[in-house]
Amino acid sequence: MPKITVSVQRRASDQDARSFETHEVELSDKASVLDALFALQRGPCPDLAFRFSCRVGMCGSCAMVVNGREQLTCSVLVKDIGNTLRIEPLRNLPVKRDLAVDMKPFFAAYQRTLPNFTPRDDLDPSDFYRLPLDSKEWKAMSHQPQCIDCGACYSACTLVTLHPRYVGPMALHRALNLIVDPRDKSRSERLNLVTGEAGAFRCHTLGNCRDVCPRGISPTHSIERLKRLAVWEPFRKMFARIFPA
Amino acid sequence: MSNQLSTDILILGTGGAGLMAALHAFWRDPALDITLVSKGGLGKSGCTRMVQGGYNAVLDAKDSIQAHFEDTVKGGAFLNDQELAMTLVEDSPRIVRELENRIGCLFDRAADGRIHQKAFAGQSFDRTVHVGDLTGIEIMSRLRDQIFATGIRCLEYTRGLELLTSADGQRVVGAVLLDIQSGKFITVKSKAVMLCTGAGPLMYQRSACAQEKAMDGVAMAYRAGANLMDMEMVQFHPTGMVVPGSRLNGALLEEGLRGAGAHLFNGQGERFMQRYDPEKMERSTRDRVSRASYMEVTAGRGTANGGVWIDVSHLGAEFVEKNFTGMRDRCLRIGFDLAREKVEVCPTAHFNMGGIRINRDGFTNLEGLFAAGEDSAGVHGANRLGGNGVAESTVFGARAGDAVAGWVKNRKHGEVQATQVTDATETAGNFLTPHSESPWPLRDELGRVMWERAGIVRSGEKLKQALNEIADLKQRLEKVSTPGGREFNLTWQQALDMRNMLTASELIARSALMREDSRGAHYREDFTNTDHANWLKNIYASRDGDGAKLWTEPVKLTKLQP
Repeated sequence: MPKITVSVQRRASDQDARSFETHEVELSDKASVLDALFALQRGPCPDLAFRFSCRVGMCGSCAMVVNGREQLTCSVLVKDIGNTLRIEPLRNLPVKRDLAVDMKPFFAAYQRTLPNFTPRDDLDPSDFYRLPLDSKEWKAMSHQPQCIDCGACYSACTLVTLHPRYVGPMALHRALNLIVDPRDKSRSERLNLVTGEAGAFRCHTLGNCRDVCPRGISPTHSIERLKRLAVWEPFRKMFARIFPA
Repeated sequence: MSNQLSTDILILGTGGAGLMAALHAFWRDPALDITLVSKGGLGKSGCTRMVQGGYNAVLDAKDSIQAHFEDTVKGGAFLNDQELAMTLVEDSPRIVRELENRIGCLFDRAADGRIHQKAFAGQSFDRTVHVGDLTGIEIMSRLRDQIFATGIRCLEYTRGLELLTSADGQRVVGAVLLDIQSGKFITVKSKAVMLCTGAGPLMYQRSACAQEKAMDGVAMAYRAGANLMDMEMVQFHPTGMVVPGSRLNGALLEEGLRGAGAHLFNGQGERFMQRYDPEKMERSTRDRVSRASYMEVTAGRGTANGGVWIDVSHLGAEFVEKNFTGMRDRCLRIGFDLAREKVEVCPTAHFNMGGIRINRDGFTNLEGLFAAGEDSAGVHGANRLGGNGVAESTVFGARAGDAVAGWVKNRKHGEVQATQVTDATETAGNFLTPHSESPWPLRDELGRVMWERAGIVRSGEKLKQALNEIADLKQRLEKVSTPGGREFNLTWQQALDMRNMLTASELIARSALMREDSRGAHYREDFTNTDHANWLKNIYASRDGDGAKLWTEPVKLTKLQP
C-alpha cells in the first residue's frame, strides 16, 4: 500500500486555536483509520490524544470526523477512504484535547430521557417475559441493530448544532426502544419527556444521523415512530380508560 | 498536584463486575458514598462490552446445576476452587434473570417466546443466553443506564496507580489514581477498595482484549501484599483473527461458531482436530483447540500467515448471516465473507484464569480489599469455558457488592500514609522526566517474549529465558520517558501499563516454571502429562520484599474428584 498522508487536528483545549499536523505513514492494506492514529502515536505524535477501547466496533469510543464525515475509526479501512486522511474530533461537542471530545453533554442529554429500564411491577423475577416471535408485542419492538452510543449521529445532526437543548438522535432512538418494550412501566412518562420541543418534534428528518451511523441504525425512522406514538397517545389513554384491561 | 477524595467504597473498573458491584452496594444501602473509576468511558471500557457469545446459566428443566458445575470443573482440569465454581453455577440463573428483569437487558427469544440458549463448545447442554453474537453491548449499556439512575460518582478516563495500606500493611485504606485527561493525581481515602479492572493478557503479542487493559488490578494488589493464585493459567482462544499490521489482529471470532458446527482446517485442508480430540473435534475446549492449532502451525501445516482456517459456510449462508451478523461484519471489514468462505484464524491470548485469591464474597487476604471478575482467581481453574466469563463477572460483582456494603457499615476510614502517596506519584511521574527509551519497542519485545516463551507451548528452558528477558525489560523500563507532558498523554499511560504488565508477566513465567505438569491452558513440552498425583495444587504468589514468594496448596476436591 502506498504511503498515506494523515492530517490530525491538534488542540490543547476547546479554547485553543485549531491547527493541523500532517505526516506520512506506511500502513498495511488492512489498516483501519484507528491504525493510522496508532502509527502516528508510535512515530511523530507520541502525545496525540484520541479515544479507543475495543477496536472491534462494539464500544463506540473511537468515532471521529474523517474527511468531513463521521466514522467509527476502528471499523473503516484506510484504503476505502483514500490516500489522504484528514481527521478531526466529533462536532457539536467540546474538544477535550486533539481528537478527543468531551462526551458529557451527549450523555447529559441522554440522561434527560429517562434512559434506564424501569421494570413493570408485575414482571415475574423467576422467569423471562414471554415474547413469541410472531406476537404483536415482539413485532411492535424496534428491531434495528444495537446502538453503541458512539456519538456519530449527535455530531452529524444539524438540529443539535442549531438547538443545543435538543437531546439528539441517539437519545431518541434509545428512548423508542424502551417505550415499545412491553416489560417497561414508564411508557407515558418517557414518551412525554422525548416528544417535547427538545425531543422528537425538533427533528426535521434530514437523515444525517442515518447516513453516518456505523451500525446501520436509522434514528430518523425511530424519531418518526416517536412522533406518531405521541400523536396517538391521548387516544390510546382514552381507550384505556373506557376499556380497562 | 494531588486532589483529595473521601468515599466509602472505591471500585476500580467499570466492566460487568464493577458496575454490578456498584449497583448491588447501592441497592443494599443507598446512603453509601460509592466511587467508580473507569480507565475509559463509563460502559465502554473493558471486555464485558466485547462479550460476543453470551452468558451460561442453567434455566432449562432438562439442564442441571450439577451438569454445569461438572462442565466447569472438568473444563478447568480440576484446578478450580470448587466452592467458587459452584457459586458461579448456582448464582448465574438468578443473576441473568436480574439482568433481564431489573437491569433491562433483552436477551434473544426462541420462536415460542421463551429465552433462547445457544450451543457453546465444551459444554454438555446448550445453555448460553445471548443477544445475537454481540451480547456485551446490551449488558454494558443497560448496566450503565442503571448507574446513571443511581447518581453514583464515576471518574472516567481515570486509572488506579497504587493501593494505599495501613502502616502495618494489613489493611487497604484507599488508592492513588491518575486522571488521564488532566494528568492530575487523586488521593482517595476509602473504607473499602474493590478491584474489578479485568486483568487482561495484553502482554502477549496477539491478544483479544480491550486495548486499555494492562493487568492493573492484579499488579496493584500484588504490590500491596495480596495473595495471587494460578498466575500461570492464561487462556488462548483458538479463533483470533489474522490481520497483519492492524490492531484488529487477535480480535475474536466467537465461540458460538464452533458451537454451531464450524470446521477447522490446516493449511493443507485437513480437519486437524481429528488428530487431537477425535471425539469432540472442533467442539473441544479452548485450551485443546488452541494447542492443536499452534502445533499444526509449528509443524509447518499452517496458512501462509501462520494460522489455520475456520469454515462455517457448510451451515448455509442464510444461517450464518442471521445468527452471526456481528462476526460476519467483522470479517467483511477485512475482505472475507464468513457466510460463504473460510476465514484465517490463529490462537490469541484471551483471559487470565489466575489473579487475586478471593472467597465467595470477594474478600481477599487484605482487610478492606475486595476483588471480582477477571482480576480474581479460582472460578475457572486451568481453563475457562466460553460463556462463563460474563457470568463470573456479574455473579461475583453482585456478591462482592452486597458483601462490601455490609462490611463498610460502622467502619471508619483508615489512616493514609503520606509516604505511600509520594512514592506512587513519584514512580508514575518519573516517566515524564527525560530519559532515553520509548515504551513502544519494549511493549513489542514483551509481546514476543511472552508469546514465544510463556505462551501456548512452554518448557523449563523457554521460561527461564523469558524470566531473563523480563528482568532485562524491567531495567529498560526505568529509562523510559514519554514526551508531551501530563495531559491526556497516552504514551505515558503506555509506560504505566508496561510496569504492570511486566510485574504480571514475571509472575506468569515464574508460576509456569514451577508447575511441572500440563493442565488446561498450561502446557509444558517437558512435562506433557496431567499429573494428578503431584499437581492437583494451586500455585500461590505474593510479594516478599522486592521479589515474589511462590508456594503451593492442594486443591480442595470437596464436590468432584478427577
